[in-house]
Amino acid sequence: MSANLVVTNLTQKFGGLTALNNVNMEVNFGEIVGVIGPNGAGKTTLFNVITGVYHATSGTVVLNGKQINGLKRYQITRLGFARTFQNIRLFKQMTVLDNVKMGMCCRSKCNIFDNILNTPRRRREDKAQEEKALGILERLNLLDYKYDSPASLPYGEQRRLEIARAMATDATILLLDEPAAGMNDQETAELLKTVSGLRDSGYTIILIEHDMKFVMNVCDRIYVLNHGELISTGTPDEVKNDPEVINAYLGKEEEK
Amino acid sequence: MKNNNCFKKAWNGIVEFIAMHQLPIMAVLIVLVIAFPFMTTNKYFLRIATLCLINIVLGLALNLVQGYMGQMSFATAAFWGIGAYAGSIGVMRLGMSSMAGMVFGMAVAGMFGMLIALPTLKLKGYYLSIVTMGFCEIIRIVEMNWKELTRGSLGIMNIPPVTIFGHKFKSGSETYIIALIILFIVTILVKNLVNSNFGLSLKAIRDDDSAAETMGINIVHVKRVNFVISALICGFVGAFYAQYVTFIHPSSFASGVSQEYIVMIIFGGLGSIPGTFLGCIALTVLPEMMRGLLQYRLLIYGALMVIMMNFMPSGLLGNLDLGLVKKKVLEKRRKKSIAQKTGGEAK
Repeated sequence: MSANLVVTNLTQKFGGLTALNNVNMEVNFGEIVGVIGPNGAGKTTLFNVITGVYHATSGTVVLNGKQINGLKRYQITRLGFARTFQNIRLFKQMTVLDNVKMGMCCRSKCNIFDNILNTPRRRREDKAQEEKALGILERLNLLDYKYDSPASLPYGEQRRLEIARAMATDATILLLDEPAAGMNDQETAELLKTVSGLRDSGYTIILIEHDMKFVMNVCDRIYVLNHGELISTGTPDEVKNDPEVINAYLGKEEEK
Repeated sequence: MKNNNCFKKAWNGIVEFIAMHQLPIMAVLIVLVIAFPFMTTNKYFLRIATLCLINIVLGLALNLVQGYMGQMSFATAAFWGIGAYAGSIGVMRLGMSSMAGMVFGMAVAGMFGMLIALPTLKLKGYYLSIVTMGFCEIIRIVEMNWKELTRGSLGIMNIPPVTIFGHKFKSGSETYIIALIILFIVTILVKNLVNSNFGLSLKAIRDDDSAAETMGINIVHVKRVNFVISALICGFVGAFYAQYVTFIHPSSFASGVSQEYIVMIIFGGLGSIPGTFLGCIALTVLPEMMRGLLQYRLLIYGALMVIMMNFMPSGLLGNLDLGLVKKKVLEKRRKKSIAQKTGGEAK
């Protein structure tokens, strides 16, 4: 299978601080890839560089043979990336349904005149969007909340709503930043089912997560970052037994 | 605390009632406002009513920028003034017809809107407010001093009244109806706009612009287009205003006037069309009723702002969406009926 997303020699510096140093990564179509590492390892920075929040100091991000770093954020999203945020960032004054519909705005074929004059084309599109949004909400088990404010949702539901909003952009690659953070065991188990279900329906998923049980169960491959450098990659089992990874998480064994 | 709950319940009840009976209530209101000029012959009342209508249009235009996009703009009066001056100069010097003058005023205001929007809407937060404040003042000074074009502090007099198909609309009740038609059209357009994908993008930008951009929205473009639309509306109604009052003066378009519109929509409700109506009508009629307190009006406005900001930061009807309230009520009823049915079967 051809490689979908290739990150080559990616370096991101903030002044004197090197947040990412020569990171190489490859994500294939239909995979779930985990990015783990201790706090401050550069995981979220990696996401931010891929989605265009920062422009990398050097190195390239290539999607299907097309270089995407340097493009604007909304352009990258339109190429098929969508992400969720570590600290939940839903649109709080809009309803749950509108939050999802909002994700579809970037695919809208209507111009400003269609919008102002509410033309038949606009009405057709609106109907299609509404149906699709309800479908996504149903799939993520959020249908009961559709007219509520996202701020009134329980924590796990808010995280799921972020995934729903990301799916609404018609993305093929979902970047989930700590989707299981703050969830209890039952919620995490549900999320596990959701995420693997997404993979089965054709999404490619890259996720950052601290919950090791979750990561080891759901991911096909794992990249381990520490201090901005890639220290290990491989299947969950390989990574678990890598002495470098154990060092990074638990510290070096003292020599006797 | 209990009292407060009672009040809230009653308020929700009223809102739900209105939401569920939107059509009949709208019909009654429309009949009332159309019948108004035939019920009274008092010129003063008609004039206040027409001003109300013009103010609501300006309030709607401002609410697009401030309520839905979330950036405070002081440019309402500037665009209004540009529309008024461009419209009357077009009619008086370039020999345009009355309608062409309005369209000309709209176009010129839109052009200035574009001029402001191109560099400033890349900025976030209050920078737009500062720029528009300065812009408003610049426009007023130009109107004041470019004597060849605007006659400076003498103002432009004897502007021909609104004329459509050769008919001069001179009487108060006729111009009232024209203003009503303008308001009706603008309201429908604004309603369409805020309920569309464009409106969703605007609200998303207001809530979290960085997340909105990550969701694939070209936020700078959306903000610019929205700002220009707001300027176009102000310009059109400005040209109409000039032909209605037949005399314009730079002081009508000072930055203090913009602040009055900001107070109106903050009072009525940011991001809400019924709120704009309420705020603009209340704050156009109230000062007229308190003529005796005219000197203290700004003081009262200030106090009102402070109170509103403290207790109801988004206005009386802030973010009220009657359509949504209706959907919620229907959903609740549907659930209830399903629960009753299944309950009945269980028995």
